[in-house]
Amino acid sequence: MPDGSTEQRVLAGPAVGAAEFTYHRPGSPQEVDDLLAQHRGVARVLAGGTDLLVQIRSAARRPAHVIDIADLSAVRGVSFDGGRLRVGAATQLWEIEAHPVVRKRFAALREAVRCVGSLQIQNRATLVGNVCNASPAADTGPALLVYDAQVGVRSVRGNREVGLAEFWLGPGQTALEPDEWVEHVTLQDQGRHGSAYVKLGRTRGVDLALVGVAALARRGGVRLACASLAPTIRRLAAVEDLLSGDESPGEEQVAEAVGADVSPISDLRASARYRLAMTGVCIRRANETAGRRWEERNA
Amino acid sequence: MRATLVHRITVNGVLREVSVPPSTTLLAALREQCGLTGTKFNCEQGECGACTVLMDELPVNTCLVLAASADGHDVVTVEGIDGPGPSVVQQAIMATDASQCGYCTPGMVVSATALIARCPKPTREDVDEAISGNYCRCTGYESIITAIEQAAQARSE
Ligand SMILES: Cc1cc2nc3c(=O)[nH]c(=O)nc-3n(C[C@H](O)[C@H](O)[C@H](O)COP(=O)(O)OP(=O)(O)OC[C@H]3O[C@@H](n4cnc5c(N)ncnc54)[C@H](O)[C@@H]3O)c2cc1C
Ligand code: FES
Ligand code: FES
Repeated sequence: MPDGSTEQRVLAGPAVGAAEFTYHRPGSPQEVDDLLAQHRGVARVLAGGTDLLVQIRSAARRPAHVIDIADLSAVRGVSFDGGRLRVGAATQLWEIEAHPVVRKRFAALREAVRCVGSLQIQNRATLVGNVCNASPAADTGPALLVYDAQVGVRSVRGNREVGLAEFWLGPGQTALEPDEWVEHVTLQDQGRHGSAYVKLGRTRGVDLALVGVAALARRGGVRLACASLAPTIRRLAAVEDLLSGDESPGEEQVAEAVGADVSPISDLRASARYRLAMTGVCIRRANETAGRRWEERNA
Repeated sequence: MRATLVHRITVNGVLREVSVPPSTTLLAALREQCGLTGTKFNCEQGECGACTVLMDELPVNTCLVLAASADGHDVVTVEGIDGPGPSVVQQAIMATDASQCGYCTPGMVVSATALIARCPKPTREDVDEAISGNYCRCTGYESIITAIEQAAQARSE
């Protein structure tokens, strides 16, 4: 290739999309509130950018204002207080993975975080970004649901807490009003329990989940939640009831309950039938690992 | 009209000023403003790892970081790894023929260097995980993994 054309390609490619935006780096959460109120509906929060920059480049999103919160120390970090784990909006996935309380008490979350993309992705991406992107395949979603996650929402109009199940309205859609943003996500400690997240992808490397299942075992029954099997990530209520009963159900019964809980689609990654079949397998694996971890705790 | 922002980024230990439009990636700023073309430009969606650098000591994909977000941060590219001569990792890659077309090599060097800094005696699994975000279309990975294991060993001796 002659030099000139190489040069051109390099110059044409690197900007994220043709559309320009105004870049903001607010110094406080109040400043984020003000910017979102001022540019209502035409601004997006940028955390790790691992979804947003891809979306801007493909013109799926065209924000006129980008509000970078990655360096906003007021919303960064993991804390554990009064039985709730709190993860700030600017906290990157690697920090969550490394946190001692997460390792000890939130095993499924740690496993889920380690499934997201690659180390390069985990070094930039945030948990709150994974939640706000509202992908049906978001790996951290099932773990957050079994730990009763709440979303801390704020704006110039005030603060509110939203249950995670109510926060997701559909693929890419959340309960956030145009002037609102998420300050943190909290998870409830479950006392003596065991949990696990099992992801099935096409490859073990960088790939989205074909099926992702989180299980949490404790006295009183098992909790299950799944990704990639419905328009939003959700709990598997019928399977939970079945597995929490006294008798252990047969595979057919589980398959029937799975069918009642989810509605997988066929896409380029897998057929609906394959997804359904693999859901039973993932449930069994997640449930067994969670149960074993619970027993180890009790031992 | 494209507005231009001025950013101060420490690149390979030197404070640089880059002035670029807001949508410019760190990848573009490094290659075009700083003239550091070791960091490669490829998929532009965080999949391949050819654009990997260390930002505050952690490997990141520069195609998914705005130059604006790197303002005030410390960036090390493949050119800045371990001073002027080839580093332990680079020497091991040469010794094991772990580079063919070479396009993935800078990203591999950066990821491997971060691994060895964090984990001086990595297991095979640690190595696999460390380069799981770096695609190689030539070598089949085995020689790269061997090179990283040898580099770690040479380092700790
Ligand atoms: C190569 C690659 C592989 C990937 N693999 C996976 C995978 O295996 N599993 C998976 O689940 N995901 C994967 N992802 C998607 C992505 O990395 C995750 O969803 C990540 O957690 C997003 O976090 P972020 O901080 O980068 O979000 P950003 O891109 O910064 O933001 C995502 C969205 O949420 C909004 N947002 C972010 N923070 C807030 C906030 N505080 N308040 C309001 N809105 C906010 C943004 O405006 C944007 O719309 C992958 C992405 C890439 C590029
Ligand atoms: S060019 Fe950045 S990951 Fe491929
Ligand atoms: S040597 Fe060619 S891509 Fe790795």
